[in-house]
Amino acid sequence: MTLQNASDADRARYQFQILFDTAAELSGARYPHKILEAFLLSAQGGIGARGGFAAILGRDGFQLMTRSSLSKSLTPEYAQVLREHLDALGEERKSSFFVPSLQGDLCPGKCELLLVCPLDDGQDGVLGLEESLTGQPYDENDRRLVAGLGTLFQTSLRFSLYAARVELLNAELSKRNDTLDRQIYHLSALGDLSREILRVDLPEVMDTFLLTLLGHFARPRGLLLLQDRASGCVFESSKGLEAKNEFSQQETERLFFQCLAGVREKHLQPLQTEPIDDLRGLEGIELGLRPDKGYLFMLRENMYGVLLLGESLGASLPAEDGLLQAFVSQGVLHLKNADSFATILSLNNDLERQNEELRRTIDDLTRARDRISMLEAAGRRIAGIVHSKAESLARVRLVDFLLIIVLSLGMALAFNEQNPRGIVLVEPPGPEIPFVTLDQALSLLDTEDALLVDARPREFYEREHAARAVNVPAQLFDLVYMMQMSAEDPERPIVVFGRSVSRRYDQIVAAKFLGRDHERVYIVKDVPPLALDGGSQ
Amino acid sequence: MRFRDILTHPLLSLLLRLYLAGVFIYASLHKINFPAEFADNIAGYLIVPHWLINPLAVFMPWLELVSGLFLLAGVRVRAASVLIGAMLAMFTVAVTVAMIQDTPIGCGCFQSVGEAISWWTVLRDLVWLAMAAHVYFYDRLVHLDRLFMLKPEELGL
Repeated sequence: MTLQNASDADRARYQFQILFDTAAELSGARYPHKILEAFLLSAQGGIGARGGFAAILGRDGFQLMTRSSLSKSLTPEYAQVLREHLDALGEERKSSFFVPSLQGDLCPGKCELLLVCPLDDGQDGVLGLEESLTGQPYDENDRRLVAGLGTLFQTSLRFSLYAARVELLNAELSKRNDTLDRQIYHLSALGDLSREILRVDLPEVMDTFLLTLLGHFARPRGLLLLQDRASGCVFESSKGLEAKNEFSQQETERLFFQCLAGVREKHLQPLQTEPIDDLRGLEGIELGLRPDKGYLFMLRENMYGVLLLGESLGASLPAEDGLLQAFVSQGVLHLKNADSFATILSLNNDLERQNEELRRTIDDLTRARDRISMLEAAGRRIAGIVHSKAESLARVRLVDFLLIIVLSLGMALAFNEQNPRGIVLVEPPGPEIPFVTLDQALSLLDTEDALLVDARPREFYEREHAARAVNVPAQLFDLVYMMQMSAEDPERPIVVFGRSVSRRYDQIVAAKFLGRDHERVYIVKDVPPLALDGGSQ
Repeated sequence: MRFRDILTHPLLSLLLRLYLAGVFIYASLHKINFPAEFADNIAGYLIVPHWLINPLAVFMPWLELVSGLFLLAGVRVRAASVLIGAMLAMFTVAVTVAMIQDTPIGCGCFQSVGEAISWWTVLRDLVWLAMAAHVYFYDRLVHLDRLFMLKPEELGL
């Protein structure tokens, strides 16, 4: 009994020693396969197993396994069987445990012990141990040792996996940091470019762009050309060229043709930048530099540009290409903005000029309108005058009467003055002829046998006259006097009568008698013819 | 065409105007040449004061002539027709008064002798007076004083 106890104590001490050694060994192990190997060897040695295997079972199969005679037996099919069996146990798997149901014939190498150590993320450490070298079945101490080793294995493997994951994360983080640093550098460089290039004058933008580009990428030489195919204008900016070139139109055409031949995409779109892959076509052109990098871009329709960079002072890094491409794209965008600004400026100038012309035109039109208004007013005034004149022609006016009357009067007076048969307008006063009353006249007729003369025209005389009256009309005085009165005594009184409202026949005839040397001529007026003798026709 | 349209037609008025012009021009010619005879004719009517006989005998034939010429030429037609109408009215009144008073005188309308006044003379003067009124109201063709006058509508304003 004492011997048995001593043997058990030795065995326990041995197992503890194994556990201690294994723990010491695993504490320095970082890699899972080392841990797996240490675990398998410790377990195999600790219980004297003939052989075994150790593996990490993932979701889809074995992820890692030790090299052993049973490695080939760890097939995916077995991994699937093992996984299904473990999943059937549920989620309550924390510490390591034996799986008796899969031991023996179901296990590769007919392992008598199958230990599963749950790990994280659905992984499990699996340890299989063949029969003992002694042929004896494993007892409880052996199982306890293997379980203890499993716990160590589980812990170590977890730490190892954690460490591996941390390293992986660190590596990935470092990589991301590098990427981020590069991106920050790129963005910073692009920001610098944007700040430097923040101008609107196209030649200035070209110079700044080229200078910034060359500075960032340590390239002492560069050439930037823009060609406006519509207007034929060529804009050039160059730095550090061996010889300053003035590109003619033909050379520029040739340069762009060669650059276009060297790019992959021949049909450029506005703001598209294409690297010139094949720069050999430019060798025949005197550029003043030996181009190392080249880009062909299109600002807008009929506006192309080419950027040629000389060799770098330092070693060229592959990551530089992306930044260079970004630089060029950014620069092209600024060039486009500058070109657009120039276009806008030109349009503004045109607009300003057109505005000025429009203003002058408006002024001219305003003046013309004023003139037209004035002419219209004058026209209306003239029309009014003409209308008034036309109306006045149709209207009877006093001036029309005056015109006709004055014209008639003037011509009448003028003609009468020149007419040999003209008459005097106002009768001149004749000789003084005494008037007598009716009684005096009758007395003269009765007492002195005076001659009674009726001076009225014959028609009036014949209609009514005094019995003693002799008709001597004024118009026929000379004829009647010659025929009837030439023998009359000049001393015989003559009483003449006959006047009307319109004619003083008596006055005319009496004057004519006086002219014939008759001394006693009298006129009786305002008496009817019959009153002179009381007789009738 | 209605009768009223014919009666008021400007062409009829033009014909009447030319007729009246001819009558008055013809009537004035003898009187102008022989103003003394015309003065005696006027005096025969016994309605004009003696101091006005000679001026009237000198002036009236020329008024007839000028008015007739104005009618003929279409110058101041309405004023001329009014004056001719006034003279015709005056002649009508004078002849009417002479007819009523049975004054033994000749007409003196065209010649100094020959034509005696009658009611036919009055009627003729009234017809001529109506012609003058027609010319006044409806005559608007062949007016010399409008021949060179720009019409308002021709100004385009």
